[in-house]
Amino acid sequence: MSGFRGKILRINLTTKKVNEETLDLNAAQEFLGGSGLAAHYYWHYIKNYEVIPEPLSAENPLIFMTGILTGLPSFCTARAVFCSRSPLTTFMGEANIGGKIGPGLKFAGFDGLVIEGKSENPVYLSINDSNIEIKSARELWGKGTYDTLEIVRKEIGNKKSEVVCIGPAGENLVKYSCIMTHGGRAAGRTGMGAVMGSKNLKAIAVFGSNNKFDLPDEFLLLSKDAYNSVKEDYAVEVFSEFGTSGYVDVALDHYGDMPIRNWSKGILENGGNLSGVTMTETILTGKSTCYRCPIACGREIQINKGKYKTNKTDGPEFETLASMGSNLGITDLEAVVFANIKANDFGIDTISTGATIGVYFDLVEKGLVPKKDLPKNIQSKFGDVESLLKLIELIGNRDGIGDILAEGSKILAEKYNRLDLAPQVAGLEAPFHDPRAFSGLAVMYVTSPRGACHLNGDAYFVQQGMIFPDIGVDNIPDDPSENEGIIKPLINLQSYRQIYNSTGMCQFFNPSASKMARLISIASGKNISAKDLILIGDRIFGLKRILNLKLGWTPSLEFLPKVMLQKLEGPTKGSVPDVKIQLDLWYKYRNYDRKTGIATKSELKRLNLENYI
Amino acid sequence: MVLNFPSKAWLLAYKDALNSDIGKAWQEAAKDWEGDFLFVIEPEGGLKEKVILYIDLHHGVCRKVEYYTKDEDIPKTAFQYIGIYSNWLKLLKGEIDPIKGIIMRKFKLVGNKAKVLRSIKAAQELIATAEKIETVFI
Repeated sequence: MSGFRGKILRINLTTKKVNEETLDLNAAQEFLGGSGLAAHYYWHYIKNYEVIPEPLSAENPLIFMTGILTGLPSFCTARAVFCSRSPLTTFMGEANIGGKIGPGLKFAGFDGLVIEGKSENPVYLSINDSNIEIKSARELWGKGTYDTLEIVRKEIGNKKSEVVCIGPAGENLVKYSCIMTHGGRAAGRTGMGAVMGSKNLKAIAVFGSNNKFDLPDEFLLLSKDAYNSVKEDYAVEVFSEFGTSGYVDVALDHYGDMPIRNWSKGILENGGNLSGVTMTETILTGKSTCYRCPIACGREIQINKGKYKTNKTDGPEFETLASMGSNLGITDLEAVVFANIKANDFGIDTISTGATIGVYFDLVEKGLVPKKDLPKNIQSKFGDVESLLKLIELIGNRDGIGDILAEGSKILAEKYNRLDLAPQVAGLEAPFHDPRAFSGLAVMYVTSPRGACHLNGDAYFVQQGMIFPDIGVDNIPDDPSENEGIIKPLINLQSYRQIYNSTGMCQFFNPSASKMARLISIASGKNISAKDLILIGDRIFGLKRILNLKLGWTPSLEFLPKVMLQKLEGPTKGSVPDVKIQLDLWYKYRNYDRKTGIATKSELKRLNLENYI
Repeated sequence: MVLNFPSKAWLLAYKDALNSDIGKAWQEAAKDWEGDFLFVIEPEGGLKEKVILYIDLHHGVCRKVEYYTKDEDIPKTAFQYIGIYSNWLKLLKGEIDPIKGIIMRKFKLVGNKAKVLRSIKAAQELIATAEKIETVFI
């Protein structure tokens, strides 16, 4: 399999032992790397435990896994994934990251990294080809992510080293702290930063010198052909020109797909201030890109004057403009830019941060937070930028009210007996795409392997018109509020996105599934058709479900909270998805048992997952 | 009166519709709009040759229209909206909206995307007004 290096690096931070292991090649073929293969490794790790390790215990491993396509000379092959038991959801956590760290690990000769145990003192890892060192991070502890990334790179003495790190939030075990890399890119979701923090692991630096893979010329030709087939796509052009924030205008004005004031309003006055077009016209200085990506959705910005003056740095993407902008009733672009930088420096997931602060503002507005809990000198209300900035600090430092906000929106809402106000599924705050705009997001959110998630079934793209006819993601009903005809294609999409999350391909690169299958075939040395990709995706999805059930997940968590199901004025025109109808059909078509949540025996056999039960 | 699409008569009726009460919603949504369009209808099925409709839109007024076929000298415009005949048919019947049409690769938009992103409502109303013309398709 020319896409893999054939080696896994296992490091125990308690014993300081470093081992190189042979990659489980059978599993690599079955799951294609990334989150699928990480799930396989995690399952093997915990299968003998009578009591499964708590997320922030030394026994809970952190797995960093590349995919079969990560680092290969194609396009948009930068992705890799951090997986572990999530401190936020307590289920299988996965956080996908771009930049260059995944390719870097491959170039160093490793497909994955398994980190076990807990260091007595703060450390960071230096992986320089086969030279592995565990170094002291005492001087780095407490520092923000921007400084840490630069200091580690300097200390390593190799400008080409790729670094990921946590900020103070990860050190303080904020449940949705993330792992940051250069250019403001993050392994954002499910609290993988806290897992790193719990191990006293501040950073990982990687340098690999071998970027060569044993691939035929056909691979390069196919890659070019695949890129040529998408380069003029509207989404590719818009993301390239305006970043993901190019979606803001359409999302707000046309679809109603950018939640406002904790998902409770349908119209946002001056919402256009937050758009990628505004960013381009005012503060944009350049673009940034992941490894081998011609789209370059990353934004570089600079604010030259005023309250939020900042040197050249990374600009916010759509999700942050929504979470800390529209969701909080804030339409000052420069303020959101500033908040984004602050959150990135603390190392907290901007989606969960904005969502949790939104719930807090809502609780305060409804008079549900007792005076004694309210921090002094903060207004704690929608639209107030100073409250947002201060709360980011309080969360990152787990200070005062920030300590409870650091637990996530579910625990915050439960504390004040209003779970219905928390826009989450299974403890993970929903990304800022609205099931009232695109109905299929409902079933994708409630059945997603990691809680409400847009990377495990981007129904909003498909219901806008993106189709994959060769894998049955087509014949999409025109009505974006439809609940039945949408389910079969979305199940295929859900499985197809498992392929993306496992192979290391970015979800913004969408040639036909047949072209993807051909690329994967060459990289794996096995003839894989587009239809096979769905079978493999079904298998990956099935394994994650088995793992989650083992970690305590139940079908009772498959619901959307009331706050996401209110009828709204504006573009969604009062539309609300019918989650029950969607779920009934989802279980029927998936061939899963509705009561237990698990695949039926025949389905487990079809997926070759019987040995995991 | 029922008019053929595409035809010069249809295009003139469209101009009238945009500038009359029928096009009120568009006039309101496009009050700040500046920029002329080519609607390019690629030949397919019953349509044997390319037809290009020139439409000059300025501050909620349709100032000028022209009908071209492929051999004629086409003016350079700020925007082009290009699709095959059957997709234009679906668009004018309201079966796909102008934005979805682009994402579905049924239409291609050439021109300043920032301007269009900022004027989604105007684009919708531009098509909604066309839908109101009694049209017969080839």
